Amino acid sequence: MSERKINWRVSVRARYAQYDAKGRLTLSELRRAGFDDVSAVRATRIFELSGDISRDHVQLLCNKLLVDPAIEVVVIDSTVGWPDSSAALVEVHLQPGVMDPVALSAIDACNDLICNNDPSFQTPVESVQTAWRYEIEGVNHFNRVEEIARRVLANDCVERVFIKAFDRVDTLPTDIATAPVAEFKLVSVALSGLDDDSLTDVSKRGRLFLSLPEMKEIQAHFAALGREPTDVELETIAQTWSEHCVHKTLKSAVAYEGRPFGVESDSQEFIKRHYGNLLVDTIVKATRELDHDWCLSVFEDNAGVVAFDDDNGIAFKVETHNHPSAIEPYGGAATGVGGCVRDILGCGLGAKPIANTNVFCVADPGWDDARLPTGVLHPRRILRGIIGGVRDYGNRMGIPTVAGGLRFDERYLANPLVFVGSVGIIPRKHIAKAPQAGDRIVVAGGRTGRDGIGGATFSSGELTDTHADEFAHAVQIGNAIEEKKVLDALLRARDHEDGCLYSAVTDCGAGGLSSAVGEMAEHLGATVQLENVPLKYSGLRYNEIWLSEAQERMVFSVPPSKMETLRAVFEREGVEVADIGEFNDSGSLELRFNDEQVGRLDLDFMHNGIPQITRVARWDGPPENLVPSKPVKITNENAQGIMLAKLASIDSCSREPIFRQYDFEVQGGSVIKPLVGVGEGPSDAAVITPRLDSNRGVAIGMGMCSDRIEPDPYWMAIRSIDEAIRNLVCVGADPSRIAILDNFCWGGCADEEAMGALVRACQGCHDAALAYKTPFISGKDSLNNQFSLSPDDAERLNLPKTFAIPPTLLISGIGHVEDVRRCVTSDLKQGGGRIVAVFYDWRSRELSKLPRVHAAVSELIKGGQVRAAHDITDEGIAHSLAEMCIGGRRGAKTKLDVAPQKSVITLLFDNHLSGYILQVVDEADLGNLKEHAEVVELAQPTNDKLLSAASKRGLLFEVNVELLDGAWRSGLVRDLGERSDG
Amino acid sequence: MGKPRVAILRSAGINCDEEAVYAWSLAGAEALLVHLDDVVATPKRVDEYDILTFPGGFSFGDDISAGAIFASRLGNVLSDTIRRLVERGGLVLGICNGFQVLVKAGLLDVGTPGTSCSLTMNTSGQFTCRWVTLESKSSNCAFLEPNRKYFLPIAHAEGRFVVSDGQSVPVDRIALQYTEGVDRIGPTNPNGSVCDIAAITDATGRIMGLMPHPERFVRHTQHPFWTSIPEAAEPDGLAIFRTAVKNVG
Repeated sequence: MSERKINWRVSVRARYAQYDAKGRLTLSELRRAGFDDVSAVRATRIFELSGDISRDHVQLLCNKLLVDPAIEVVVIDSTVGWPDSSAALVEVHLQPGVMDPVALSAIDACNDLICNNDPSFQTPVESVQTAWRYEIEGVNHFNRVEEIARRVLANDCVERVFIKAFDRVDTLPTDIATAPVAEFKLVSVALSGLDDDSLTDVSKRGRLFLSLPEMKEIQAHFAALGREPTDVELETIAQTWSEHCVHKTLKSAVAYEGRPFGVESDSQEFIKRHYGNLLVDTIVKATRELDHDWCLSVFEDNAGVVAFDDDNGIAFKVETHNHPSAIEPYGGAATGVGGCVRDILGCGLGAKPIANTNVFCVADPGWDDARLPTGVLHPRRILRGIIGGVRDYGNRMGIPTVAGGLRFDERYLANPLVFVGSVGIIPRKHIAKAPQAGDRIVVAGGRTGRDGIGGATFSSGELTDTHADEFAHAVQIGNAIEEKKVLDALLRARDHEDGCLYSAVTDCGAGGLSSAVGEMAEHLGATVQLENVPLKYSGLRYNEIWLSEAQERMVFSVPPSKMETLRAVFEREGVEVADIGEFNDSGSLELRFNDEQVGRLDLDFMHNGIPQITRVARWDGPPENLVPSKPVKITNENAQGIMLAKLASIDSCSREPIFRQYDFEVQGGSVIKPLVGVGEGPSDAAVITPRLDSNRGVAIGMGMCSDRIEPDPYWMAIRSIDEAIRNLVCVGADPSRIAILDNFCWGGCADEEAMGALVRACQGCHDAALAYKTPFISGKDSLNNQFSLSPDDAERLNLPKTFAIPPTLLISGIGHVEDVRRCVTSDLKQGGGRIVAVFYDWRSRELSKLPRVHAAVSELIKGGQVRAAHDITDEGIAHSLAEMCIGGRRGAKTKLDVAPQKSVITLLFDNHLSGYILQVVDEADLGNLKEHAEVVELAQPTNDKLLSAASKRGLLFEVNVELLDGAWRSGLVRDLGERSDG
Repeated sequence: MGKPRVAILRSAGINCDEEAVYAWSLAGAEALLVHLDDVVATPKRVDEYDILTFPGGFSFGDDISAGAIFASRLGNVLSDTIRRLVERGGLVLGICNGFQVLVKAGLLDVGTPGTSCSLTMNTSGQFTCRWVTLESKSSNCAFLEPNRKYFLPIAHAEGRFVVSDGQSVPVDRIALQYTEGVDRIGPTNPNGSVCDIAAITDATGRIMGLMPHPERFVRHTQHPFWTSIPEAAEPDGLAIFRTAVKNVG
């Protein structure tokens, strides 16, 4: 690509400071990050245009498009340069090749406008790029400006910074940024004759993340073929065999030795157990054994599918996007959402996304800046970035973000976890798909660039202090509108009057075309002409085209007779499609670039050639250095303070500052929203109506138990599943129609103990799934969430050299609601009744009774006996009751002088009790419940807005609900609250 | 007269089109999706309809600014068509992104010569999704009952209504204002709009643009605390569509 000179520079800023939203937002970000010396920030949006454009054209663009005359002013320059200003100036530009959605939209709109005005022009505007300029007042040293740029304004893995401040004047680029051009040259990688060390070295240098046994298998395969692999062949195998794509740890054979499972799980009498395939012998096995007829597609497609009504199923998928979010939180989280939504689009012949979910695990946003290791972004910046990414992608696509969770633990400092989920509705007749030999291979959506190369292998290794530099190319910025267009086109092609216009579809995830085409061709064969893939810029090598993770692309298998109709449907929605080859029955995957064959892989070897190894797993008991959450000694004197502090703590306070940023109403289906009741208390789960003309609903709820509460991963898994089910039952879902998804995030599985923890969690999933008759339908794991600190940092900060996350298991549940008008919320309702606690103690290690508790509560709800229901979590009963008061803006008076067995304090604050708090009608019959759980008459609802409790030794607490409410809403305001202008 | 016909304009990034179809059909109209490109190519197509709706979403990503590219593509092509539509008793409704489009395309303003208006970033600096209480003032707006309160959700980042000359907006152009609610938390005016403006109308009262989403409250179970209140005779959002259907023609 030739260098393009910037012909015009258009600088747009707010006419008055009060309309400079970007500047004011930046100022508040700076204040949060501790830059109190900054007194003002003004932001200017810059558009740089290249092409055959006259000043009149630019003026037209400004008048009609780029500038809002009511509130903005513009400066038009024909040269690039810094304006006169006494303030420090910082310009933030994107790195060459990074997605710039605004520029993409602007270039089309600019050309339209000029050509409509003057039809003699074709495409006068060749390129547009955008940038932001910040004028910063109040700083008194250049270093300070540089620090502001680095810590707040820009992320150098996707952005470039130019500064004019004090003595420094950076030269601004006068050309549009372009990516380097590569010449075509076929490259082979010599493997034959290499010894073990050399093979390991090839894997390392090529960043293939292949183990030695895997490298030897590949070496032998190509030796038998009598040739060396080409670079693209080797890289394709590395992607296909990566942990990210094939889940080789979870699917490996495992020899387990350690503590037993079930009620015996605390015993020191060790058992041995062999698993042929850990996933298949635990999680999948439970689903197969249960064999529910309402499970329509499990563990085989991009998402699991359960029955909804006679005509439709519901698809659900949850993914993680941890490593990209650690390095570029906004882009990483946004593309995580985009990828998960594409899994829904690529489920069967395409499901329509109807809801998104998320869970974030991060360190305390109040983390001391001085204790931040090199290569790690501050937790506040990470959290704000991922919320922004999830918000912008979901909102722009018009998918409501309905449920979420947030967990804090310092062990997530270097490895934040970003779980993103998506739910879709799919006609039953479109669940099955199969590409046919003779079908065309069609790629649709965004163009391919160098962005995101090596995503799958990148996700499969551990992070280090230099990772941000080495893997910057794996990080991307999403373009939600491109994906929305693909969604619109896909549904129109699926529901076309001529019948579905394609025989299969899947998304391009990590691994790009290599994984999408590779998977679709698995039982067939394919020939791909890589030069036919539409590119963002010329000069990509064949392996870059094949492996780029560039976003917003889907691959379709299209019968030749339907090609033209499909093309017309997509082009009408503004989506580019390209015919890049053919599926055939050759059993091999042939890659061509113009007239040359650049790769030919045996599909059986690619998909089944990975060497199987048996891993050893041990579990002697929880690690000794794990500090469990120690309950503080609670007395009559401190009970009230402790309850208020817990309500206000970041761990259990209101998530409102996050939810408010998500459009949870779009599509019009919301029935139970994230905040419920007149007092806007917390909801246990979301309920939506996927069809506007029906009262049938879908409930979505989650569970995640911390190892600090339950250090044995076996019980941690069971408690997580129980929590997801409780949440769903609370809103009115039928417990016999709940399906769940697993997402394992582990620090690493290299050592036997970590593997042992994984085995115990999997076995817990199996045992709980069978006990509750709740099948898993889909899952995904991310098993390398550790960070290698630089040796200096480890010593300086007194942190472990390898900083790993705790074993983390997210259970996402999806439930069926026959009639949403029967749904229940957690807020206390007017008009009396009784408040009862229904609970059980996890220390009893008793699982068998629990399913009956959930069934009995569900029966009560169905029977209209329950006016409010709320989950008892590991925060304790008092906390849950307080939340019900907040939601209902009503009081409750506990009368626990008759409490059985336990002391009142234990009952109200114990974090090992789980269950439900129910506001039931006076005449409710709880006989059935009492057989399976402890049932305590907990409180009377009151209208005086006081929550009170007394023990035999006197008053424990008596708090106004306004006070509870204020505490609960305060926890995240400092770090996430809307800006209060000052 | 048969059912009024509603054209709902869609384009890349529009995402509240289906619920708008549903809301209009519940109100007794017949609503169809029409692609922006078709209208730009053949503006006369709008003559087949009684009501034109610009639905919510993020048209073209709201890149540059909310609604700017949609408005720029629309250009002047609909000015005449819309004038004819209004003259024959038709109606135009812009919801959220649709309101932004109407304003930025110059199809809706405050009617004071030399004063331009716009919708820009909320004073909070971020996207906000919450329910708000609104009050209708104008007695001639075809979508509203005069002096009635409406409870509806907003979901926008750029909903702050501003006018170029400072503060004054003619009273007859103000259709809905954010107002104190009985049961809600949070600021009365959620985005810093001048004069608490949530919706404006043209001189005839037949064109209205509003930031709240009436199409998201046409059923009882969409109300944020429906589990603790009795079912109302008519959800507030549906009331707006029904009033419009009553007043068309």
